[in-house]
Amino acid sequence: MVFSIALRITGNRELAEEVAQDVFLELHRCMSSVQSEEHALFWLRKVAAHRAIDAARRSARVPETAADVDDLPGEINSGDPLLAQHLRHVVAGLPEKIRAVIVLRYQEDLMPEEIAQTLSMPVATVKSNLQRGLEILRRKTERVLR
Amino acid sequence: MDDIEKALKAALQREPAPDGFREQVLRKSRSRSAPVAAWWRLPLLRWSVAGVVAVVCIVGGVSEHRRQERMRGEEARQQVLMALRITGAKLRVVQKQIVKTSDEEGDPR
Repeated sequence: MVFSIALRITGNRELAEEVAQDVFLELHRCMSSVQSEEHALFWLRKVAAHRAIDAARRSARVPETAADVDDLPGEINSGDPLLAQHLRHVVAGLPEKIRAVIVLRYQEDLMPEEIAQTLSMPVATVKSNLQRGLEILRRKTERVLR
Repeated sequence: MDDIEKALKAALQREPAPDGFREQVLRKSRSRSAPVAAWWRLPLLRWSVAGVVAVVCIVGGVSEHRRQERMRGEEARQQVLMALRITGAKLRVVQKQIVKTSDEEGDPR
């Protein structure tokens, strides 16, 4: 989960690995403050998302080519593999905050309220980011869906 | 959930961490230096400790400087006393010489 969040947000396997390792080391340091399994999961998602957004901003690297998309593999249980690859490519090119919202919504299956808590942003902002992200994805995928 | 959302869900499946990830985290965790004491993380305390260390260093430096000055003064005093003793001894020799000479001149041989 942690590595996957970092990978989808940073779009870079090495960077994602680094972020995920740091998140687990941080968890190890703060272990005494973790109250339950749910709290640990929430904490991991929150810290992973924030660290990944920061790392993505620092590296200022947005995968734009087909080769970059190949860095973002994923098992596809259903649907069109080409469409899935195209979607991952478009997601990787979204602004960091919108990307994080989309990843938490569709990879982690979180509700907007949970995403708001995780990313420390108002629910309305989460919803508008979701809408904006989906709009971009729809626009850039129309051709593939036809 | 519309088509694009379903397709997104399918495309954004969780990606497992690479092989050896767990071992790397454990290795990093072990290699980290001993944990810093909790009190040391408080900035006020850190600055206080730094301040005390600085004051101790300054006071120590000043006291060492004064000790060395005292030693130099004592050395100079000893040298002056030695010079006075030598001068005194020489004066006594000269005085004896004068007395001896005047005795010889006054002696009616």
